[in-house]
Amino acid sequence: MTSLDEHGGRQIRPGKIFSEDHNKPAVAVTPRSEERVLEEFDLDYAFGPSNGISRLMRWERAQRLCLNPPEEVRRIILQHGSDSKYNESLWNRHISGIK
Amino acid sequence: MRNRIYMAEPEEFLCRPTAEDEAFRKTHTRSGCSYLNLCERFRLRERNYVTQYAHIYFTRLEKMRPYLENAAAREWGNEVCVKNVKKRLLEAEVGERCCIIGTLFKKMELKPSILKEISTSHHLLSQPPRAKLTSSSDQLVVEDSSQRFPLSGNIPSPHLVTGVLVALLGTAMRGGVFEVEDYTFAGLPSREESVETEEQEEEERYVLLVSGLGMGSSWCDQLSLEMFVDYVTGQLGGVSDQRFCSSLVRVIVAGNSITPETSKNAERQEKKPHARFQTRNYSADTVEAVKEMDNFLAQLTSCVPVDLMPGANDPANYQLPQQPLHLCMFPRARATGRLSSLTNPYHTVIGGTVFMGCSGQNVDDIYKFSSLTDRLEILENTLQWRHMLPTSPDTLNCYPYQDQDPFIMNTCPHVYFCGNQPSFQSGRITGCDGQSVLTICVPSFDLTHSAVLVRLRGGESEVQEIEFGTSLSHAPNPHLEAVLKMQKEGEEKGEGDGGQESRIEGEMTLLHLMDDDDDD
Repeated sequence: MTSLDEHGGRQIRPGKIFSEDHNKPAVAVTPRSEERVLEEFDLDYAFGPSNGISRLMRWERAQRLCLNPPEEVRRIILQHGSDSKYNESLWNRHISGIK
Repeated sequence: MRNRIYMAEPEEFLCRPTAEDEAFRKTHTRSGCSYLNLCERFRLRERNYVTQYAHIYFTRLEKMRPYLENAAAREWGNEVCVKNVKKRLLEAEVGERCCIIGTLFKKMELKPSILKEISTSHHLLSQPPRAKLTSSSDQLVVEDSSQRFPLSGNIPSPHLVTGVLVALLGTAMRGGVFEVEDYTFAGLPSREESVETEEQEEEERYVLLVSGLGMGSSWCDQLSLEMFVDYVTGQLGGVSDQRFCSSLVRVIVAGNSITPETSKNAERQEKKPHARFQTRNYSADTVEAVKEMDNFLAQLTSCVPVDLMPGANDPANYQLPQQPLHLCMFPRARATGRLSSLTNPYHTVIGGTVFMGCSGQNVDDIYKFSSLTDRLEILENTLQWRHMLPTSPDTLNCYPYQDQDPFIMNTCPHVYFCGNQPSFQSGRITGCDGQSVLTICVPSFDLTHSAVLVRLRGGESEVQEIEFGTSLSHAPNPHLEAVLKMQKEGEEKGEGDGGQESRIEGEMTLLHLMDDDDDD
């Protein structure tokens, strides 16, 4: 969830990285898109490395290790199917040739 | 001191046979035993080698975290831990006395590094093989997914290796170093009570452990192997020996059934390409060795079930967990139906006694990277660390698991062994819940001509070495002496001109000794 600091800019919570979206007004509080939710899940290092593993497998691993991964992430992935690009971590899009 | 199994009483063995003699009409039936194969968790279903090894370290740390928290609570009292156990190393503040949990990493100068080899000039030889790769400049570091701390203080860094999980009590100092007051490991796992125990009160049952048979080598002592087979199949000794052998319920072959010579020869052969007509009647050494192994196993499995584990020198995959040797290599032994080919970290329940073990790669690797010299101590340490292969995947190659680490010990074994060690050693170790484990270093048969007999008694199992020596004198095996001497020289050698020289020296010594043997 976005929150505002005293200057009206977005406040960054430790451990999570927000990508700045310059097209949206800085003060607006918009509902996060599904992709944003999944990207935040990838970048949260509490659930372990996200490179080279599908999001669903990473979610299930976090669940098995009792790390309480957000249920929302699993819902979004299964909604689009485990074969879709929603199941690939964001590193797959940036590194070509390596799954 | 080695125990020797003595032959039966002379009266019943060395006597003239008579037609009325009851002993010759008596047959002994081998005892049955319950058997549960738990090696499935080491079988690889899919082979995905694109994954990085970071996943296995993450899984290892998160899975062991609760055990380490319990161990820390037990050691240092609930007060320190409830207030000050840190979820992340990042949370440890300077000057605050706290407890942190992480994976150890040892920065070693002498650790073989492919980067060092590539970056130096091509004219330099790669690092000569040494027995120990430790040096006084090794530094221990604790890390997790957030950061790492170099360690100083009360921690025995020469005894520890990369990959061990530890809970540390101490303070983070300014400058980034963590000053350790005390440390603890996860400790022995708790024992599962579901394992059946009612069988143990009935009969005496024994399991024979053997490793390092070394088939196909030029110095293979055929007589010792024949004695071994004859003993197990009840053709050696008197009536009481036969009665004793009928209570032997299983033979476990713990790896290295093929000699490493064949793989060296194969490498040499591959370098010289042969025309097809030149190789028509030629058969690779490994194939001959495997045929010998098949004959050996066929004799054994004709009357006793055998569990076969792969080892470092066997034709199985290189990475751990080594997958079972394919039974098509042993057609005669497979036909008897009593041969089970199992994985390298081994886990079964035989007659209510839980056996866990490895073919020796884990202990050999830790031996190279720590200053510990007692192999039994290394084996017991892996129990205390609750992990069978802590140095994997750093220096011991293992499969890049994504979401599990099957080498973490979840239950406490009754018997924990490792094969292919230079000599027999055994001990007993007790955990904090009172669970007791019998630890065994199984000696390599081609060096010591001995096997290990275990009496199945659950937590109170007993062990004894049996030697199938063939020399009439009590002189030690000259081959073993040569190997141990080479190892010691390797340990003591500092810079050295190169491993090539010492290896050639060693081979020549062996040839020299073999000639002596023929003269006898």
